[in-house]
Amino acid sequence: MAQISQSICSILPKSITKQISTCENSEQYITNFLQNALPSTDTGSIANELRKSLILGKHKSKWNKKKQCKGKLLTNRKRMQLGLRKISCQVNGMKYKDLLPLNQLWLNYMQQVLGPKFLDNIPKDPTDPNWENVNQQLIKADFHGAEISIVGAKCPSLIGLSGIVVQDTKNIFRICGKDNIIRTIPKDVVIMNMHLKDIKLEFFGKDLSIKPTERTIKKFKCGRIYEL
Amino acid sequence: MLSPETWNFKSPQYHFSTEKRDYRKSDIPNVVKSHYFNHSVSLVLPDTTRIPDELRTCLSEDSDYYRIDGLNVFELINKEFIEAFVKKGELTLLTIGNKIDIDNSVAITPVGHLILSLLTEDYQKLGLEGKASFFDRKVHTRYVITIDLKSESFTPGKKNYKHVQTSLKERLNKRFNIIVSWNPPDDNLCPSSVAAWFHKYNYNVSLCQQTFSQRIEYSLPIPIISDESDNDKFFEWLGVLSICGNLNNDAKNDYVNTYKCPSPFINVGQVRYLQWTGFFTRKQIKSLYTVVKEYVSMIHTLPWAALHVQGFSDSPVSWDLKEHTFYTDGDNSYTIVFRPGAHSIIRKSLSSNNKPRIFQ
Repeated sequence: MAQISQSICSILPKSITKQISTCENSEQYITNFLQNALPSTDTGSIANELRKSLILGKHKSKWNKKKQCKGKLLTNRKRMQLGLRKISCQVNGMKYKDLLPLNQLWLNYMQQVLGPKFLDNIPKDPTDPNWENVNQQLIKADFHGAEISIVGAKCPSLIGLSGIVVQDTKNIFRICGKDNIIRTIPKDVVIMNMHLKDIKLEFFGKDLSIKPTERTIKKFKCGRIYEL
Repeated sequence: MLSPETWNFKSPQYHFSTEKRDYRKSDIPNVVKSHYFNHSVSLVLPDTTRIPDELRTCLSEDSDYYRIDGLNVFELINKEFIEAFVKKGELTLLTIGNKIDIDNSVAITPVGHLILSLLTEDYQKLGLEGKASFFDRKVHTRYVITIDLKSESFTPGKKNYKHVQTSLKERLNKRFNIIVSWNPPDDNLCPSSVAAWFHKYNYNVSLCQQTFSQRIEYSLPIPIISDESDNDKFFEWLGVLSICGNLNNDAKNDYVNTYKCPSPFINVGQVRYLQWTGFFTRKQIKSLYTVVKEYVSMIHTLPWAALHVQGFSDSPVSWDLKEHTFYTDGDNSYTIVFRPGAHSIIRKSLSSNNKPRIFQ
């Protein structure tokens, strides 16, 4: 090994070096090459350009600007500490049966939010005067523990899934189905039904694609086209 | 606003393909075998005084088909139905009374594929995997689902079958008016057993019969088709004859029509035009093809004989599983010209070969 390392540092043998030739006047060679290669409009400024010296570290590209996120985001470490990653982990073993009491709590909460008069006159279509008020209240509500089922989606394999919501983020819902499997459902491609005792509320996921904390301030706009 | 250049509109894209076929070949051409849904058949026989009964009865006898109103698609998934009608013999089923570019459509090909051509809204509620329509560019308005009913793995007990069944039962609430025709594998079974099956499930089944009409034109010049000449003029003449157009134009300065028979032509005593309209399966067309071929090979005085088969303009597929649509026209038809002692010429006409030139 020592012999090889010695021979690496020694000078190249003559048999190789005699074939190599370097240009005596390298600068002249470059100027000639550029004059032949460049279009006629640029040949005048060759001399000026060659005099310029570019320091490699000086010019930085603007591409590296990172998007500055507004608001505080959780770091990955914090996520692990809070146990947010454990929700999607199947090994954790969240059972549908254990979540049923959560669903019950949610139903009671919804009853409080919507008020006792809700069940008497449920607005059936947008022409009902009560429609907008009820929509505002529903948007501000929290959906953890709600039982939802997917009725329509751009992706056919999402249709038919149902379960209880265990996590609600900006773009997705995590639901635990009756088979104890936790599934992630992207919000903006789905139409879902929320089951409120006997009442079924149909939602477009696109309208709920906002962080739950920000949904409380958001105003719900009426008059949009109902399609995925 | 700029006014449109009405002199500069490109004509809609149309596909014609002409093929020459050795008259000695005994097998059926592919054009006939893979055209599953046939609406009307017409036969032009020049210089014929008598036609054999076989020609006439080939498509008129024993060729009834049935119409079922308000069919639920999940009935077609029934395993007994598949075993009895799809796997044995050939079942051809098509939705009628719908428009292929704005309605849903369901069809079963004789090969055993169930084709569901659905609008985006219904597809997004159904839950079965399908492909976006070939004719859509960025905005998808239509999706096509193809299910192989003859597949070994399509049996109750398997997850795929169960998923298809629940989806069709619970999530597709549309009903279709369909026409169905079954060619049993042997003569012991009656084709009406398919109607009996649907009747058992309390569907409104009605019997439909093919219509037949005959026309004779006397003292007519007819063009001769040859390998070198421009065949488009010949087919144009055939078309004018089929629609009872005015072929004899004596008045030299007629304003409406100055059509004349293309040359080279010969004068004949009479030309017979036979037409059957209804719903024909590929098996029936195959048998007609063999009968006409034998007839032409027997009679050598016949200059030519032309058989034209027209498909449904609202069918979801044209040939094989190639998707079909109605843009300016829903034509998917073919003409076979038999010539005794020379190659037969097959001309295929398809309006939906390309995507329409709409850029969304």
